[in-house]
Amino acid sequence: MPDALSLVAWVVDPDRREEVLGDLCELRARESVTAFWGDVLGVCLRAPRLRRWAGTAAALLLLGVAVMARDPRHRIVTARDAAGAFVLEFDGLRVVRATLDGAPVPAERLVQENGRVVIRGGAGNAGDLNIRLRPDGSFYWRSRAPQTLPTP
Amino acid sequence: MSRIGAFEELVLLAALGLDGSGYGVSIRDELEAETGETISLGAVYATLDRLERKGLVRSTIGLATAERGGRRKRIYRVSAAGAASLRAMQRIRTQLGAPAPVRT
Repeated sequence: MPDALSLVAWVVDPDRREEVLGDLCELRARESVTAFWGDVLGVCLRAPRLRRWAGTAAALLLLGVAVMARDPRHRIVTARDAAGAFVLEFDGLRVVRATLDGAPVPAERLVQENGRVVIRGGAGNAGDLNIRLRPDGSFYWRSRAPQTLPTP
Repeated sequence: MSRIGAFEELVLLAALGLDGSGYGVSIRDELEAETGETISLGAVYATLDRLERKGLVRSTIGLATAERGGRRKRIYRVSAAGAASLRAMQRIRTQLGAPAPVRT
């Protein structure tokens, strides 16, 4: 069990240390152990020094959360060609989701291998939509032919 | 006049009642005796610090005693500004509590 007065001496501001330790020394002689530790905790939690540390720790934690929430590895890119728009959702260099002409592409139609992403049947009558990924995260593809509406 | 909160007012009143001999523990004891509630010593210190920054109490260092392990007390005394704040609070309470004048 740590010594209460050492703990308080470490936490409270040096210019208040003597009177606070004196007060607690006085209380230790007359209070129950529970009440005394309650006072020790109360003093420590209210100490401006600890509050400053807690404030700094909270700010660092928030910063960490903000950085993690804004993961630069995760990005959504919308691309367009003559046939319309498609959307690729990246996690790093991996495409985790795709949307073609506004409709989500089923996972079984999305194939990724060695720097290439294939959307099966993504180019309409021409077959698959082949997308080449570059190591820097950019990509290119052969433009799909414009969609032709069926004549009635 | 500095605006004071309810707990600050209680701490000021306790310090005033101890007539210039109040320190952390005795002020807390006084508050517990009068309110019948358990008061955190940390809250008393934080409030005394705040009151001192506002100029409503003044503190001096007292003598060391054996029961305190040879450590000195910080004695708090209510300043003139603190006494004025208490009087102002009392006046506000009296006015608010007074029955409203009857219009005829």
